[in-house]
Amino acid sequence: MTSAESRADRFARELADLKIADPAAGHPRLWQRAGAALMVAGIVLGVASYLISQRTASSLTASTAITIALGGVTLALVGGAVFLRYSLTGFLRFWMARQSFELTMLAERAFAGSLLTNSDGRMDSAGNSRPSRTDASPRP
Amino acid sequence: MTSPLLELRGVRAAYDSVTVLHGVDLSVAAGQVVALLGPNGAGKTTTLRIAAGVHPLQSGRLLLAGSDLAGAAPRDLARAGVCLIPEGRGVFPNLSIRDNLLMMTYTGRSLAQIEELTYARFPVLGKNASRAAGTLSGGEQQMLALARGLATDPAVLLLDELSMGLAPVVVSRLYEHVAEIARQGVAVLLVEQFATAALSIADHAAVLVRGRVALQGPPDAALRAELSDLYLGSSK
Repeated sequence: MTSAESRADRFARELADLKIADPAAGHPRLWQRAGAALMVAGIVLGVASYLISQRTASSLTASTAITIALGGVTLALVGGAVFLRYSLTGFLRFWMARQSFELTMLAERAFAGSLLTNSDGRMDSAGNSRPSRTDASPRP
Repeated sequence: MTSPLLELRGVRAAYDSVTVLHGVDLSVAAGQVVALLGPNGAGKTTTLRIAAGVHPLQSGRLLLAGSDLAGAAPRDLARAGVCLIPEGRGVFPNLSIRDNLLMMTYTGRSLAQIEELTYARFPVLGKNASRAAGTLSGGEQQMLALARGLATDPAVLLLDELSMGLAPVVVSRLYEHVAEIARQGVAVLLVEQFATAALSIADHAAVLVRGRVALQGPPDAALRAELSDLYLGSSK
């Protein structure tokens, strides 16, 4: 069985050559939490620094606090973006899969309707009764 | 026996907090057909999904040609030559047979090459190349699903409930094709609820009951008798 061995050998070689990404590298939940934490920390930092800048008499302290507040705002924006990136992708992926599935179901139903208007829905030559198509929609 | 192309060792898997596989051990060598049998909810499809990298392992090892690939992305395994044909065939019902095959040109093969291979194996698909896949009989759709899988030049073929919704005569014809595919050196792991058809071509069989391999061995009379006891309850 030379061809079998060669395919098996090629399979082993291709697997060895494969640069498989470490599945732990993605860690979407970790990134999601890190994003949320950054967002909260940024907001807290921004608000606190802004309040300090308003209450201080020293213009030097005020400008430093405002700089830190701007840093906090940036941090919150970056954290928010990271959070949205990792929380929404899962949801959007699911939503797209669902849309695709529903479209397929709709097309199948529409197709079954057109079949029923053209034929009496008997079993086909291979003996398959196509129950899902004929049973899914009522006979017009 | 040659070293296995696909091997599961002590595989445990869960859906949320519900553990469905409790340490499954299974191996398939090149050119071998292994039938994974068992009642509904035994964990057969989950085992296939784990072998294809679609479902994560809780613990245990997924070895492909000796390399531990637990946690590898399904696309990486598919690229290497692991092909899963899911229950329900997974063809595009609104596309023609030719367009369904055209979708497989991402593998690097030309449509002409894929069509040549497909129509040589399944002439009925060649005669109906421009028909929408949804208008084909269940058996023909399953042939198309097999053809799409073969277009990837698989080393490991994972088949889920090939016989679902098909007449017995169609099933036995499809199994002849599967046996032929295995003879060409492909390792085939076959999940089936209907044992008789699967055992007719299997070199080895494993019976999964409640997430555990309750029985495995060559598909001889002893295994068939024990299988019947497992399905129907012991007569002893």
